[in-house]
Amino acid sequence: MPQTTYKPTLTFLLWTGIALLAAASPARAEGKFKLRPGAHGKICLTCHVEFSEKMKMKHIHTPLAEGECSGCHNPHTSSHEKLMAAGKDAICYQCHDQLVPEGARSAHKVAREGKCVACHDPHASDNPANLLEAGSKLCFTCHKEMAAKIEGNKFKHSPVQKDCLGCHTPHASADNEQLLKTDVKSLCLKCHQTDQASFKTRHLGYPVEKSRCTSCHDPHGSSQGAILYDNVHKPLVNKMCNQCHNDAQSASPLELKKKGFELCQGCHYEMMNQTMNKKLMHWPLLDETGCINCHSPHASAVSGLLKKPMLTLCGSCHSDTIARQERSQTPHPPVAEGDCTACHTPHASDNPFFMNEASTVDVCGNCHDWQIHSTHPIGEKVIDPRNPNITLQCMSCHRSHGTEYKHFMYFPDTQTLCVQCHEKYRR
Amino acid sequence: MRKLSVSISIFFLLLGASLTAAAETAKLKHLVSVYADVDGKKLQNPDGVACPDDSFLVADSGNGRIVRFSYKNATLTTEGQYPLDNVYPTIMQVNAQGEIYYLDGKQRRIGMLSASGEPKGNLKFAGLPAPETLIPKSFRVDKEGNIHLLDIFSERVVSVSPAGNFIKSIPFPEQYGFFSDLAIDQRGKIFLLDSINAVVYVQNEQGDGFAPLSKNMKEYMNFPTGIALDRNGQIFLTDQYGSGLVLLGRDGAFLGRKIGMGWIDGLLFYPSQLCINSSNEIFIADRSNSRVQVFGLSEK
Repeated sequence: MPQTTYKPTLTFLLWTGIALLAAASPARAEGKFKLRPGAHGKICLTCHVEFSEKMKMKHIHTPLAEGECSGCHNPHTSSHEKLMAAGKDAICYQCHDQLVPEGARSAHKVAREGKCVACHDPHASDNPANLLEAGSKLCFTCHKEMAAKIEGNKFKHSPVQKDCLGCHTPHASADNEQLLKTDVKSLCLKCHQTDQASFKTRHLGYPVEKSRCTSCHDPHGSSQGAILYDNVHKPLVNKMCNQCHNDAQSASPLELKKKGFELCQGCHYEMMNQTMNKKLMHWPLLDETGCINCHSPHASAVSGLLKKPMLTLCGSCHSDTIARQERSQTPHPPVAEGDCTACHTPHASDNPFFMNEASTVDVCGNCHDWQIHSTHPIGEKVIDPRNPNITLQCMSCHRSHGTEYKHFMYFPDTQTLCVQCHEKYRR
Repeated sequence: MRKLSVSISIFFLLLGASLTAAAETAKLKHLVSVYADVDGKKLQNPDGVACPDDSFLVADSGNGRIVRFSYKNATLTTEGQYPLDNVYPTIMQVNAQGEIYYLDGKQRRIGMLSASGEPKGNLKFAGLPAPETLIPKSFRVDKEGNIHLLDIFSERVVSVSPAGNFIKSIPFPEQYGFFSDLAIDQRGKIFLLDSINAVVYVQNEQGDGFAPLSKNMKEYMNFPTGIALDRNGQIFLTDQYGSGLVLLGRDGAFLGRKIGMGWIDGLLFYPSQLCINSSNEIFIADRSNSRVQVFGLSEK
């Protein structure tokens, strides 16, 4: 009968399979290094006795807990320090490969660069997720300026006092900027009730719940009432939103009365008149977005109501300049520190390169005083031997945003630089 | 027999590909650098250059004037200079009748001169759709004499007749960085240059919008600000911050960089507008070298 012959065959196969698996499992568990049976993991700890303390911690990294030291380390040789099985920036991603999704809107720099150990202990920790410190304290080890600001704020935002992870995700945010868990509006409306009368009164009847709260309010707290950013645009201070926006009762209350610079010149007419009469215009000032390409119309953490610190702001369009400085062997302090206006006028200028002064020598002389009188001949009367239409000045030899050579020279060494003009000394 | 036909097919395919590539690369030869007019007055930060067939016109921006030169049989001649009152000329164009147009960077308007250099006032617009504010960052004049303006305030390209009457408007694409310049090919198709992202956009088939022609080319260039096309449709960009010339294929593919940064003849320092004439000569306003340079362009 077919059934009687089939059953023993199936049972036999099943037991054979189990037996083979059982026989194979020690070899598989000891991995590619063919450790002696039973040596799995334990063999490492016979020498690395300091790990006995680690093993007592509350949270142990799974491979270590399972004795899989060779999950991350090569017991024999490696091209990487600490006998790591891969580069320290890549090793974690061999298992945790989904932490920074491809195309994420924002990603934590350390996570993107694989510098996981900046926050996590790779072996064990008393904090969840093997974190080096618990809560915001960990974040503040790097974000010191933010910590100092939060500490110094007169008006605190209670979620910030608890934990950064109330609003931010630590690795990457697929859809939101600034590592936010959700979009700004949704995040704020989780706690703040916008349908209350007091909310509407405080916002002068404008439907601000439709806009971005962080346009005015500093989510990390501030020393201004209502945690407005520390620098507030005057119409907002005076509660005169309708200087720029339609009336609160109109059909489109949040709409601006005019576009671009045409709106701002209503108050800033003197500055705009001076700007408009210059030969060189910083053109984004004249596009549809106008002044708010660079300035925040409501309030800002940065002085001058700049949207971001100058280095980030200017670098959002002039990324090459910032990149050049980062590559430069010699940093130029105004660029490195993001003080672009030390040399340039941001709105408009009559001078080449939007310089603050007509003469480049004078611009540089503001800091490099002695160089303008005790140096190689430079100035309006000294013609550049390479080009009869230009005169020798600081930028004839130095590129102020930096080069790959020392002292931001255009050429690798002084000799090569000098013989560009002094040709008879060319070797 | 089958093997033979396959081999022949592969040979012709490879030959075709190499010919296409060859046609889309170019060799530049420095012809002349223009430093001054016939009276010895030096050019100062020239921002623009236009090159009709018989001459070329320079926006001598720092001196507030336009200078006409010719370069024939290896001889450079000054043909005229036209001082402008309280004007900072930048982009230059010339129509088929020889009439001169310039963008006044100071007042952001299009000024006009007759073919012989007499002032003809500023271009006035009629029939513009809302919004009426128009701020041209650049402009081009096509074969018919129509003027196409890169209107950065209202985020569109506005086309007007030689008299300034509105013809059409094409909105900028949804996402872009900042448009510095535009160009028109032989068939009247408009190209836009996004300096921040180093992307070239092209007018779509319907003619009512723009789509990216190239990918983001920031890895090849710094901050391109000038665009021109040769008679074959090959695209040339001046990389202002990178001080060089960039070549793209008709399909927007990056083909290479030409000319490096420097001060001697044949090198560039913060170049701005460029143009290419029908003799395949390329003129570059070498702005921060205070000169215009002319190169002969030949296909490799």
